[in-house]
Amino acid sequence: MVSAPARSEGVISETASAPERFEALYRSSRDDVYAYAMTLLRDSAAAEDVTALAFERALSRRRSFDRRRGEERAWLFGIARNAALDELRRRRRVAGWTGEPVGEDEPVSDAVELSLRRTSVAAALRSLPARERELVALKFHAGLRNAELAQVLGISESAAGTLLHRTMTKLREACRET
Amino acid sequence: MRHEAPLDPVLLAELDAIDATLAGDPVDPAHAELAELALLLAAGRPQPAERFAARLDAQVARPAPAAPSSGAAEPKRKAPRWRSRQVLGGSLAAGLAVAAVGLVIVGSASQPASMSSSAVSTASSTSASASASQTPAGSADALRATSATSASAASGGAVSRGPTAYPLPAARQPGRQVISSAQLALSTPPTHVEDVAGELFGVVGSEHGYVQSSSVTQTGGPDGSARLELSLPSGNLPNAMAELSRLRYAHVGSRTDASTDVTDQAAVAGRRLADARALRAALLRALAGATTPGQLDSLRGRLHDADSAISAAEQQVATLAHRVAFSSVTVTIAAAGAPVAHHSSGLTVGRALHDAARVLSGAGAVLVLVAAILAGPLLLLAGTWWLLTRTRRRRREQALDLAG
Repeated sequence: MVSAPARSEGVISETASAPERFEALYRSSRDDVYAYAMTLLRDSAAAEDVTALAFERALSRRRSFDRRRGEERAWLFGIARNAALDELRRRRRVAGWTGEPVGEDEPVSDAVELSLRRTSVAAALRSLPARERELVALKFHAGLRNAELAQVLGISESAAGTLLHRTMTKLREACRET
Repeated sequence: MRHEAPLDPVLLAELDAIDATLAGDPVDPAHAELAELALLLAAGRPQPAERFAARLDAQVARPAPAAPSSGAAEPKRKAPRWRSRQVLGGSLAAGLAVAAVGLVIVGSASQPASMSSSAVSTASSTSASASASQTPAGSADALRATSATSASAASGGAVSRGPTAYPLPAARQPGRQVISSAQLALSTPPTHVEDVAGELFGVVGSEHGYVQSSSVTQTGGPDGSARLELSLPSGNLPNAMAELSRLRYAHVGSRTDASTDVTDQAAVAGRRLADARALRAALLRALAGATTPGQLDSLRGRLHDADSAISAAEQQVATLAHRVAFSSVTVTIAAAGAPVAHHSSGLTVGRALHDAARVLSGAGAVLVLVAAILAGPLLLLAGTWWLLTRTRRRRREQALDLAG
């Protein structure tokens, strides 16, 4: 039985000052932003650069954040997405994915079947186009809700749900084939 | 927001199953495969290297939380500071410039109406004086140099002229008998017809003249009018005309000066009188020597005629003398909307409010012009910015598609 890894939601108090709010956002989103960038770019160095750049831009633009336009996490991932896409434009190449996420410790005693399933899923994920892979990264690695997903991508929530379902269907079929 | 069709219930159920799985909630067994896939995807989440995480933590924590810079990697470009003091200062400077331009425009256009009383532009009576001094060679006839020079007044806003707008007639040649007359057309606001007439009476009195006739109609409307026939000592005429042209509530519409040299007429009248008197004296001597009743009757009859002739001649001489001594001036006053001739130089509240309204109106007109001028470039700027934003977004999306 596979359980979802714990994630810190990082509750940001409404009464916190701007620096406190930013720090809380950073603490709660640092790993998520890296995970998203890594899944999309499939290059750890590029993912680190994009993550750092995303937080730098967010820090410089934190006064321009307008709560009426959306949540802070969606705003942050919008910045991160632009940074990642700019990286794609700049490099115009697909970095080879190392196969195993950096820093993840896999218990030695994991069942072989589980390991095989994870490998199968990873391979299926690699086979997805970048746009669908990004969707998976935002949903499952960054942990965005569907509404946040829609805001980052600039589409409606129902459209985001439809795209996500379609991607999941492709992954299931790809996993069955492997 | 565009209305979209609701999601398919099956699709919606699967999305809910994914969210429930990620939240650790139980899921319908029908979605077990989907739930497992979701868990596997979540488990494959990449983790940052510890060294990177530590370095990033240090970069974020290094400056003060409020500092814009987060360490070695400076932002590639500064965010636009739309609310900066520079923008506010520029706006303030622009506003002051607009107000200054408005003041200049208003100031150049607002030549005060108080100058209108001296707006009569041409001199009068110069030809009258010239005619009075002319003596055609060999001509025994009286020189009738009736000159009428009309001075047309300019409307409000004319160039300021001083009290010497009306040059005084040239001094009469000694020994010449000249009859002078003048016509003055004044305009005044409808409510001041009577005031102007009153002022006029005052001028006449101060110049030792008298009003031959007057007719004043004060209606308070544009049909108010007055007509006055004045008789002023000819020696005081120039001064009187100058005073009449500077009445407080009146604006000079036109002025006509005329003169007639009657020296010869006066000489003829004098000779006629002298002849009549001489004839009477002769008749009286003849009457003293008359002996017959017939002679007495004849002489008495001729004496009566001579007396009549003397009376007529004396009347003519006196009339001419009076007309030479006193000049006739006809003044008409018409109620009109013409600007009032204020000669006071002090600033009044009304004038200040009037000028302030004109300044504001001028500034408003300038603002409208500036807005019209800037509208085009601003629209172009906005369109260019929108286009750039759209292009940049499209290129990012294209990069995602090309990444594969």
